[in-house]
Amino acid sequence: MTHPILTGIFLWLAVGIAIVFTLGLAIMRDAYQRLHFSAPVVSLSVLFIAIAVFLENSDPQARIKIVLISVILFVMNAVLTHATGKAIRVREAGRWPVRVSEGIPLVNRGMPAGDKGPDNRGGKPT
Amino acid sequence: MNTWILAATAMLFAFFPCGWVCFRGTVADRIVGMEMAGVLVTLELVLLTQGFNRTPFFDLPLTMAILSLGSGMVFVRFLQRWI
Repeated sequence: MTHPILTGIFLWLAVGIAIVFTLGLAIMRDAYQRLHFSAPVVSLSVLFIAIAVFLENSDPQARIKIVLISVILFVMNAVLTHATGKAIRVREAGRWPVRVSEGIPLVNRGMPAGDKGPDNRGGKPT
Repeated sequence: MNTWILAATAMLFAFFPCGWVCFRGTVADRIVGMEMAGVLVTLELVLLTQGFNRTPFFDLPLTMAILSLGSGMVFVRFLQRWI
């Protein structure tokens, strides 16, 4: 039995979220900020579309595949976003580790004895 | 014409901001825009598959989801050093 009103609500929520956050991606200033805007699309939009498919379609093949699609998009987008962020950082700065001179707050994670970090200052400010 | 087809048509408007970023941004911006477009294409294929009521065609968005990840990782690898 289909639920056309519920299906429509979830569908249009999903489409609205995708459009709004894609607009947000275009508005942002740099790539680091743009990276964040794919998260609501792969989480909320995909979830709502999956629910709509479940409401509309009783075929187990369709339900299994939409669950697989949702899981793949949700999990792997996180991996891809982090990999992209790292690649942008390496491209811009020429290295991955942060230096104290860059002014980025560092968390002291208790470096091993004798390890003074990448800039040989033990994480201390300049 | 049903709700799914209408939703798929409306979803097409989400591609314009991605295209804007891909045409106008830096290399890093373009790759981010491309990754978002890959997600949107996957969702578009799901909507069209359900709209035309062709259950076997769900293989297309499933394949697209996997391949968009792979292609994204390849571009990211090249972005880091060679592009």
